[in-house]
Amino acid sequence: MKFLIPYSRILILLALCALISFFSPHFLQTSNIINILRQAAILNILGVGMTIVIITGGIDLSNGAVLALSSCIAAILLKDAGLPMPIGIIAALIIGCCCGLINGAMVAKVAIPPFVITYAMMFFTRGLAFLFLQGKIIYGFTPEFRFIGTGYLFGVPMPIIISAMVTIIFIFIQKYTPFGSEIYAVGADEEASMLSGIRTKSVVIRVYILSGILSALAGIVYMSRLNASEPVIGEAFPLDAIAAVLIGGTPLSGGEGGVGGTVIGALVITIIINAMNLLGISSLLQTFVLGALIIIMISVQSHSRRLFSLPSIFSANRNGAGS
Amino acid sequence: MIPRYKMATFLVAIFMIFGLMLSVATDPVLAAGKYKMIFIVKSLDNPFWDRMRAGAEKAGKDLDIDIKTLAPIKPYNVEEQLRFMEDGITQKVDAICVVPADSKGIVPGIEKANKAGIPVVTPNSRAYGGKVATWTGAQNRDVGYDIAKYALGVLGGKGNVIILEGTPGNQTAIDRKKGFDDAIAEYPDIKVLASQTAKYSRVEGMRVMENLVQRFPKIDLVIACNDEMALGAVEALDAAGRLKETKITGFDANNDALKSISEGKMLATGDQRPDAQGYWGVVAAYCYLEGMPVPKDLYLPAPVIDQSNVKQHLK
Repeated sequence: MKFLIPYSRILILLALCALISFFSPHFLQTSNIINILRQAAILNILGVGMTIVIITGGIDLSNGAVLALSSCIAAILLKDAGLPMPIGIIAALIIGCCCGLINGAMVAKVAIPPFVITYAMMFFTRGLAFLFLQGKIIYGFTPEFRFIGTGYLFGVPMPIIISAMVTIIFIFIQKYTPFGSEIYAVGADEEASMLSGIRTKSVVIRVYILSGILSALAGIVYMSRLNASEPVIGEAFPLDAIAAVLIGGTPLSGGEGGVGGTVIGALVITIIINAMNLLGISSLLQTFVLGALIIIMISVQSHSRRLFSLPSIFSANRNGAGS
Repeated sequence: MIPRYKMATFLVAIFMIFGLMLSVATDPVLAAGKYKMIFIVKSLDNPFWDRMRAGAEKAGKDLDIDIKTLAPIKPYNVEEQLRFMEDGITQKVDAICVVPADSKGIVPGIEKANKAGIPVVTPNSRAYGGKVATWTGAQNRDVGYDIAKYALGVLGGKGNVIILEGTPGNQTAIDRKKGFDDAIAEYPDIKVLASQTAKYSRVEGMRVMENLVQRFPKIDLVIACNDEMALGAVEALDAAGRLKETKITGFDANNDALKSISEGKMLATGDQRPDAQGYWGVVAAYCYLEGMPVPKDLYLPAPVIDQSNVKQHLK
C-alpha cells in the first residue's frame, strides 16, 4: 500500500472522474475537459500563492480582495483612462505586490498573526475597490486584452497556459532553489531556521509578495475572461484556494506539502462544480454537496498522511514546540 | 533598523489615515432637513442599487429630507441590515426605508422599529412580518412573466430553454422564477433543459453556462433572473461560438445589459426602475409622517425592453 501514498491525490482525482463519467456521458468530452481546465486556471493560480504561504505556516485571506482591487484599478486605467494594455497589467501587478508587501511586513516585522492581518487586508482592499468603482461595473475591453482570458495559443486556451506556466515556475522554485527549501524550513521550525542562518523574515515577506502578485495576475485573467470588472469578484476565493491547498495535501500547520498537490486540489473543486451543473443537481443542494465532498476529500488526505507518512525530524520538532 | 513598535505605530497610522479618507469620501454631509431617514439597500455590487440610491436621494432633496443610504459590506447580508436598523432606531430617525435582503430575517428589525414608533417602508422586496407602512415596487412575478412571454413569442413557442435562477431562498429570485414558469407552462412545445442557480452574479452566470453548454448541444433561449447572470451567459456562449443561435434575456435593465441589447447580444430585459422605487419609497414614508393615508402596496409598472425601445433607456 505504501508505494501508493505519493499518488493518493491523483487516485482520488481519477476515482472522482470515473464516478462522474459513469453518470454523465458529457463529462469526459474533450471540450468539457478543456472547459474544466480553463475554469480551474484562476483558482490554481491563487492556490499556488496560497500554498507557499501556508507552507511557511501562514495564511492569506486577502487574495480574493487583492484580486478585485488590482483588476478594478487595471480596468479603470485601461477603460476609463484609455492607457495601453501593458501599463494596466503592470499597475495591477504592482498593486498586488504592494498588498503582499504590507501583509508580509506586518506578519514578519510587527508579528501580527497572518490570519488577523490578511483578514483586515481583505476588508481594506475590498473597500478600496468599492471606492474606486463607486458601485459601478466596468464592462467591455479591447480584443487584445481579452486575448489573455479568451484567446488560444496553439489550440490551448490562454488561461490554461498561464496557469500551467505559473505552476511549473513555482514547482521549480520549490524544488531547485534555496528560496524553495527556505520556505519549508521556516514553516517547519522558524527558530531553528533562523539559527541556521536563514533570513526568515525576508522569506516570509517574499512569500506574501508572491501571493499578492499571483492574486493580481489571476485578477487580470479573470476580468479578461469575464469582460468586466466589479468590486465584488472573488469573495469566496480565499476559502476555495485554502480548500484546494488542503485537498492537495498541504496541511495548515506548514512545513510540508507542495504546489503540485494544489493543482489537483483546484481541479477537484472545479470538477465537482462542473459535474453538479452537468448532472443538474438542484440549486438548493449544490453548496451542501460541494462542502460535504470537500470535507471527505480533506479527511482522506490528512488520514492517509498520518497513517503512512514517515516520521520526520521537522514534524517531531514542530509538535514539541507547538504544544 | 526601525524599532518594532515604531514600525507598528507607523503602519497603524497609515491605516487610520486611509480609513478616515474612506469615511470622508463615502459619507455624504447631512444638512438639517425636515425629517431624518435611513435608506438601506441590499448591496453595492449591482448598479441596480446605485440607481435606487440615486432615486431615494433625489426624493430627499425634493422633499427636504435628510437621507442616509446604507449598504451591507457583504452583499445581501441581512445581519448588517439589522445592525443599520438598530443604529437608526437609537439615533431616533423619523423613518426607515429598507430593502430586505432576506424577507424573514429582516422581521426582528421591523418589529423593533414598530416598538420605537418609527415607520418602515420596504421598497422592492417584501418583508414577511412586522408592521410595514408601504411596499413599493414592481411585481417581480409579473415582470418575469412578461419577459419570458415575450422571449417565448420570439422563439415561436418552440425550443429548448435554460433558466438561470437567482440566489436560492431570495424572494425576488423565487417570484421571478414563478413568472418564468407560468409563462413557460403556456407553451407545451417549450422544453426546459435545466434550471440552475448562478447566485445573481456575472461570474457564476458564466461558469454555470460554460458547464451547461457542454451538456446541451442546442439551446435556444436562456432566461436569467437578473442582468448580471445574463451577461455572464453572453460571455460563455460567445466563447463557445454559440451566441448567434441562443437568445438571452435578463432582468433589471442595467447599463451593460442595455448596451448588450443594442448590440444584439441580449434579447430583452425588464426595467423595474429602481430609481422610481427608491423615490416612491421615500415619498410614501414622507406622506406617512405627514399623517396622510398611504397604500399598503404601491405597484410600479415595469416595461420589457428590447431592441425596439432600448434607445430611450440607454444613457
